[in-house]
Amino acid sequence: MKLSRLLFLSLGLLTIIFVAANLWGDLDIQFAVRNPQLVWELRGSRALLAVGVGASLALAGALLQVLFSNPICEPYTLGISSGAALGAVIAGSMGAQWVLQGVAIGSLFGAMLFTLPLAVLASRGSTSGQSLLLAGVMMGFFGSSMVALVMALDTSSGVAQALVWLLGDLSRATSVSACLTLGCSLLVAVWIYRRRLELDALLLGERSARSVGVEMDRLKREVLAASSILVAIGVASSGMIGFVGLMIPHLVRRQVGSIHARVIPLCVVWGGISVLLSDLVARSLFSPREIPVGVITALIGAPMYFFWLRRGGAHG
Amino acid sequence: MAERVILRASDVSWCSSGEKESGVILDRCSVDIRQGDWISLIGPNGSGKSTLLQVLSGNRGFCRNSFSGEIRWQDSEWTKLHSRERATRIAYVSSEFNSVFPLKVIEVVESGAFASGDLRNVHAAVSFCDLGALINRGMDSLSSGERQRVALARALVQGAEVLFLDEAFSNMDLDYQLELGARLKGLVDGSKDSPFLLSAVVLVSHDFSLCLRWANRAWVIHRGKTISSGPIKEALSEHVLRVIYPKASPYLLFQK
Repeated sequence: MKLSRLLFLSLGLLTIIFVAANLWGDLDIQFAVRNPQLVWELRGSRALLAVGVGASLALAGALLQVLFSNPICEPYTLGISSGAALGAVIAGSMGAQWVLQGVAIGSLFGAMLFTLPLAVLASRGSTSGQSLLLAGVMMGFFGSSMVALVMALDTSSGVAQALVWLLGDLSRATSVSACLTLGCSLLVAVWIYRRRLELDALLLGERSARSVGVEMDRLKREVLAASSILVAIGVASSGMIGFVGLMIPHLVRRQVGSIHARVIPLCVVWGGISVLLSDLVARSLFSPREIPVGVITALIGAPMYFFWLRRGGAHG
Repeated sequence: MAERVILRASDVSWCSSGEKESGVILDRCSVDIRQGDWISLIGPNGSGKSTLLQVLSGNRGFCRNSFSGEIRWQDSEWTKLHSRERATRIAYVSSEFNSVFPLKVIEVVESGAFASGDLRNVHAAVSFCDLGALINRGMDSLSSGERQRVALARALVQGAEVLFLDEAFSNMDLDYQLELGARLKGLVDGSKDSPFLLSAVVLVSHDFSLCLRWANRAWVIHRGKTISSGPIKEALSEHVLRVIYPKASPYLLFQK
């Protein structure tokens, strides 16, 4: 299928689900139609945030996988998510509110801090090696342990809230946080889209990219910066939502191949669809109880991905 | 006959990052490439052949901690050129060439145009390497010899004047080794009816007959030093062969 058509269909699907997410729920539909402002506050911003978070996580995963020539890379496996979570938890325990500003800055710092060792290792040698992935896994464990430590020492009431948040929670969405998240992820997507040819050359490994003239040191810096920003905005606004960053890039590549002119826009849209849909399930399955959206992405995603692998995509 | 010197490297040294004493891989190598050259780069495993080619092509960067020496491309200082400019002059082809991501052959060949942005020669490169039947196949479905042909096609699309073939024929079948080698030799010798302007080739191979077949000159490298370079018959003297291949040299002398 041609990219423009696929993108058009995907955007259409996204719009339909977005509208459905605004109408779906406990509120009486007639009441909802009469009070659009209320619906927007309750559901619209949340749906918008879901799209933004999904887009940023999927794109971050796609970038990290190519940079490290490793299909199991994603914000989680490289420990960047843990860094962002740690920053957010520390900021939270220091009194920052569970709203955008304080926690977001904390998680941005955390994500940057945990990307730093990766950047140092990457600048010293090839990124293709296993050592980088191992380093990321170590950082991940370190970060999760630190999160547990902070939560054990901090006896304030924020801890229970933080636990839910760590599994991914979109319920704190405000229209400001939603617009900021989606806006930032789109900006980063546009920025990195301009590097699509470099990224294509990188698909065959770092040495090969250098030999066709890619300035690898600059590309590594940009890709690492872009992905840590993406992870930070995702984690800051909604906690840790796993599996999207791993699964969506693979689904996209199996469908349209690995060329980034196609992968980048489709990751943004499909990432948005996946989290939006998962959140819809998460808040309606056991309504009025909500399940953390990260649980749903993994529970739906893992079997679906397995099925997809077995069937073999169009490009596989 | 004084051919034009394209690239001249003097006292090029390289050590792995920061270890000036223990990590020396290249030790004051001096070589040059002239118009119309086919150079065989010969040396034992681990002697520094690949490193030399990667350093010369600029793939390793020219960080002061690792690199020293001078490289000139005609009248310009090679180390000061932008990586894209270097890529339109030298193309480095390695023996291993694959991706962990799904990629089609045609997509790979086109990625060679990164530096120049010129896709006009894609078709010619595909037919040069006999890839016409494979262009829509996935890279992971090819044999390693076929992938090496893709790598060569991509390097041709790159439009470089000099090709560094680092065991780039090692997995091809015998017919393709001879056929593609002969076609490249034709380009170097200045074939008129080809879109590819190739000035020189440097070939690394452990197949001695392949090394001797087209080469007019040889560089011999041993433990990071260029112990001999020049016209092939002189560069591969009996003494040199005994140094680099103590056990195999009697057979090689016979072949020569």
